[in-house]
Amino acid sequence: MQLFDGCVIPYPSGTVSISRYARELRSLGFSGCVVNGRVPQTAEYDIQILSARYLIDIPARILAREADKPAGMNEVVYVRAGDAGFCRTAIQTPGVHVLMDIETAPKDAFDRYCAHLAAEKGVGIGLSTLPLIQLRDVSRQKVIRRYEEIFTLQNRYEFPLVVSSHASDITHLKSPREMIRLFSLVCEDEDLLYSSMTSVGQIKNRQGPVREVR
Amino acid sequence: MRLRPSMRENFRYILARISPMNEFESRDIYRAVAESVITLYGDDIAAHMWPAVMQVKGPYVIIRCRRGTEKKLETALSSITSVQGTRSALHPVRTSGTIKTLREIIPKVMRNREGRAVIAGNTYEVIIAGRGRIDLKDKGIYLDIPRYITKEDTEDLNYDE
Repeated sequence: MQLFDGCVIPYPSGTVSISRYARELRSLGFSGCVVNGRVPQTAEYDIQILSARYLIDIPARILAREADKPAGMNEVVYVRAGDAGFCRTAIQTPGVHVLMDIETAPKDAFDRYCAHLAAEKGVGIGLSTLPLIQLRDVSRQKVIRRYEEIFTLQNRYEFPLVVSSHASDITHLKSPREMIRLFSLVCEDEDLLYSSMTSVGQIKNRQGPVREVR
Repeated sequence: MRLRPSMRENFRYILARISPMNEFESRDIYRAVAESVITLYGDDIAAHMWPAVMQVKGPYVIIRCRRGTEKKLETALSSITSVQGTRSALHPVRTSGTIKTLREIIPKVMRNREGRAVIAGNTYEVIIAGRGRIDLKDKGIYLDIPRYITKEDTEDLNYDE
């Protein structure tokens, strides 16, 4: 089973080089990761590396154009969640693979209609361990409640989940076992959590409807 | 109070690895663990869990808890972000019923070496750990390169004698 860390942020946004991430993640038990940003094509790493285009604060009207830009090798497209309208548009936009940062979106941004659409289109919903370890008190309670809602919707609609450490520093990295323990605060189903670590490959290689290419 | 062996508590021991390879005193680690348990689960569970740091050996630490609370302690260990004000993470490696088993897992040789690395034409003081892991010293003055790298990211690497 190929276990992937759904998102890590290397230098210059973070403090860790891609090769160091690869080495640390391998020692933690992962067989691949998704790196936010460009990955040098010539370099060889200890684990499989996918690169992600992370779209932040993109207006909904130009989202399709941004997501549809010619993708590089092994590239996945992540979009940061916004309000309910934006989330629905993002999920229905061809080329978008994962909707991230739901915990920072407005309260009702991800509703059951979004959940239904995500399941139908095969778009992943990103969950990160970072707010669970970095936040304290009420802020962490809010994130736990939000994640509980997402797991409840997932149980009903069965959309894919993508679990990530969202690490920008070496101390943010978590092993698969730690991720499961942290998410056990909101979900007891270990099989679901394990499958969430293997879902990136399936989301990337999903078979969509035939599209006209110009 | 001295109890009969049959009345004694059953404990579980968790081996955790500190990342990056910093060394701390056991009381500093205990404070970090206790703070994490209390913020995550509250005083009630913390009192029931009874966490204690049994041994610190380099970047490895053995932590004890009552049987049945080991999963909660692992979650609390995973949520630690700093020890004694230094950014650090504790990665639970293995849980066991005896300390002896965990002591056997701890690597015998764990030597960090100091040296100098040449990166982008400049020389930096570094700590070189196993498997080519390199940490730059004194973050804050190096904003133009990553702090945590590997041997492959350097142009030249010299060990201090």
